[in-house]
Amino acid sequence: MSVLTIENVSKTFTTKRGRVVQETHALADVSLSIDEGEFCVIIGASGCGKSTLLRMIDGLTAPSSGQILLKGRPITGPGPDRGVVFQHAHLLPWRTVRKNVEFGLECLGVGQRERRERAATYIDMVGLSGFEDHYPAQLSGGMQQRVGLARAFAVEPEMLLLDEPFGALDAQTKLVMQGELERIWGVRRSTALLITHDIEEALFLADRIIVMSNRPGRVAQIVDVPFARPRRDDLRSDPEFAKMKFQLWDALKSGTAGRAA
Amino acid sequence: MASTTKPAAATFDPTGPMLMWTLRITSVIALLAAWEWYGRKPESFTIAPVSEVATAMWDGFASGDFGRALAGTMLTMVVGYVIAAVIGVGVGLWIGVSRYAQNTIEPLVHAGYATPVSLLIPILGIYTGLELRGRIILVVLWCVFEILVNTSTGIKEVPPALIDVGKSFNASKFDLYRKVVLPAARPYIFLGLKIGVGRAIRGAVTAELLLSAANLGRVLLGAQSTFDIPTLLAGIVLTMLLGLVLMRLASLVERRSLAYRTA
Amino acid sequence: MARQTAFRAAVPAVALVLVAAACGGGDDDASTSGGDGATSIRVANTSPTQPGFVPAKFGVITYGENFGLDMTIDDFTTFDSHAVATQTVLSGRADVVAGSLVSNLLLNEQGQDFKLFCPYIAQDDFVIAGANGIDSVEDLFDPNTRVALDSPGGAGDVILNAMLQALGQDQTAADIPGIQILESSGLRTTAFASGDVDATVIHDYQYYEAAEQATDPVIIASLFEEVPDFVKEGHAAPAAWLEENAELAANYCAAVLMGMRELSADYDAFVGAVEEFADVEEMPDDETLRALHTSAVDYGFWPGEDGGLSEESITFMAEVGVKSGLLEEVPAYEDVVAVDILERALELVEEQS
Ligand SMILES: Nc1ncnc2c1ncn2[C@@H]1O[C@H](COP(=O)(O)OP(=O)(O)OP(=O)(O)O)[C@@H](O)[C@H]1O
Ligand SMILES: [Mg+2]
Repeated sequence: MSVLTIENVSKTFTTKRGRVVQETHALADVSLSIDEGEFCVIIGASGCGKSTLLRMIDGLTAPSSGQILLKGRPITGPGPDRGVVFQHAHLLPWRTVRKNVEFGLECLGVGQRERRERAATYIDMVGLSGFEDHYPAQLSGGMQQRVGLARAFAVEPEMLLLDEPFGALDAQTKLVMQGELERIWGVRRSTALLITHDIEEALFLADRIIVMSNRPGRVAQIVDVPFARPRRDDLRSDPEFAKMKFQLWDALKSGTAGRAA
Repeated sequence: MASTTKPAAATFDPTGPMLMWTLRITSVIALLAAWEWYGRKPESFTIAPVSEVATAMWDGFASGDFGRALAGTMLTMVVGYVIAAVIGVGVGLWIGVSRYAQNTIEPLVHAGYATPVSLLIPILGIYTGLELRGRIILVVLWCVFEILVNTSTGIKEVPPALIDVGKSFNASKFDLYRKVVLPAARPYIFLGLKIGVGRAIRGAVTAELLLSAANLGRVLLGAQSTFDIPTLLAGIVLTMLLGLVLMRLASLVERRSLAYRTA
Repeated sequence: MARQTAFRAAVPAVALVLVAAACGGGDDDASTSGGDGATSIRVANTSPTQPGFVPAKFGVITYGENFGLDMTIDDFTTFDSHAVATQTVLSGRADVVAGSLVSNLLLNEQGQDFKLFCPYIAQDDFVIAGANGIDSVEDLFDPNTRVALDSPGGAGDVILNAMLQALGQDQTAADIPGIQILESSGLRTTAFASGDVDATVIHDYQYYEAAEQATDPVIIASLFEEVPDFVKEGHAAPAAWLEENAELAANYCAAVLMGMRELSADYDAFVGAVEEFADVEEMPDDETLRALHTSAVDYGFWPGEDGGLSEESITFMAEVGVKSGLLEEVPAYEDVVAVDILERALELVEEQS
């Protein structure tokens, strides 16, 4: 059953510098639907509007035309049913790791004790136990990104929106974190929408991969990923995995990926 | 190689602070000695020797004059500063968050910010009164704009991304200001408050010199018109020390509360 | 690292010491003008040249030549305090201070051997102004009377004390219970006009400006009417310099005296001198200048005839200083005035006319 429906969404940014008005067509006529409990991954070239699409789903930006329905209702703003991991961690620098993770819970009015417990759970889950009282400035970029993950998980949303959460990580940590995400997600199976540039990451995590064309972004291709869950690291050496990797690579390579397929 | 340089550095390290202190103290002594020598030259009229200044300082405190003056100046300064801080941060926040205030009040603030308050003293005196109230109002005028402009700048400079974080995590409007905007603007606000301390001291002493003479200003004026150079210099040194101590204190408070940035 | 920091801490201090030493050393080479054959004097003024102060500059520029002087307006420099002007002379960058007589006596008592040798301006147009029912000097000492004055030792303070003394009052400004220290006469004027104070000491033209607003304003006393012996400012120089440059100083003073005589006698010349020498933003109107000129002539602002630094007047001023608590004692006349130079100057003037 589809929980999120994107219907003919376009987005044009208008920037004014003095008298010069510049229009950027970020997205053009994107239609898509995501099923409940589905792990959906969007890949596409830089600047093709992935983050923009995610922000519209979160409710931070409105589409220029078309509409986005969440459980049948148009999105009017952010809600506790969605949790976001931003492309750049965007932690609150004056809050410790623990307080950052508790932030969303505080806003929802969750009591102090439960906040503590949940924060501890998710900090542990992203492997940052022992860093609870550190400030973001004392963490590496990758660690900050993991705090961002914990912050989004902590509100336990029905839908997770993840914008390149592992972009800042080294290859090795990235693999570990992908495995972790797959495991954590597997526990609650909330709907997830993840953006990445990394084809292998997409294949490892996704039930379905949406390949977007270059700007203005449109849906170029949709690829179903058949691998069973839970997925383990040895999946990466599976011949079918390698084959799909090539296929996706091909689709991505050309700006007009959709027509090639 | 590495193993030979390392112990050397290690043995040098403990002497580091000591060497620094030795040099610091030596240079202070050298400075005082030079001052004394220069002040003792018969043609040095406006510079009294440091020993006489120290005596004047001692006498000033022993007679209670300096203590009273210092207390009076600090009272003026503190009352004025607190009022300025409340108004400055309050109105600064308002300008920062409200389009309306930005259009109506901000131009006035900028005009006030650019006006040298001391030029207005004779005119202001009529409206503010010449005694304590007038001096306090001058202190407020002296530092309120600094605090205000810094505060409103801080609010405007809050990274939009952090606001998005707040919204995205369902912060209410109140929470958004309390938990995101205000803390994000804090470095600016504290900077304004810190600069404000220095300006409040200058404002207090200037008001005491130019509005109606009182406290430290009166000490300085009295010493000046009677050519009591040692007391004059002692008063100046005292004013400088007051500034130094309070600014240090302000920096300390600022560093403490913004520790997260460099921690 | 620590060593670097330490050096960095030391650098400013060392630099300061060097600068101080350099300044100190520089003084020794600073040229002192004067000596044999010198024809100019560098004058340090302690306040801007008000319209009433013009005779000295006027005389030196106009008649200097007659007395072998070769001076221009650049030989006069205005400083903003007596202390700085004095320091300039002590450092050898000027020869003569034109400044407050009481300040000069005070300096003398503090061991700076400066002697007065020539008048500058004898009187002032300060008045004691009263309002809100305050109309006598006795009223000033009423605890409910708010009196604005500058700080002890300032011009207004000395003038008030001189008036009190001349009026036979035993008390001084220090005994006024309701005193409020306002340094600038402009601020005292606004305070008086707006009713923030009931009495003050200001210039008479300031009084007339304020009188329009004040309630029941009166002039309680006027300096030049009450205190003929007052000496406001004079020319002074270190005794040693005067000894070495006696003739030069006499020539200079002769030119000053000539200027005073000329401006006393000729109103138009006075107007011209104000135009040329006074530090005023705009020319005062004719009425004001005429009133000033009349007072100056009638009350001896410019003592061109006798030089003005008489023993009585100096003693009177010293007594005012003592009563005000500025001076310890009345100094011996010869210790503070170089009478011979002033007399020589008067002789030179007589020779000329
Ligand atoms: N607020 C904005 N105002 C104007 N233009 C914008 C704005 N946000 C995004 N854009 C433009 O929209 C386009 C898409 O931006 P977006 O951030 O969605 O790209 P992206 O696909 O996430 O890229 P990347 O993979 O590099 O993160 C870009 O050309 C960008 O310049
Ligand atoms: Mg992006």
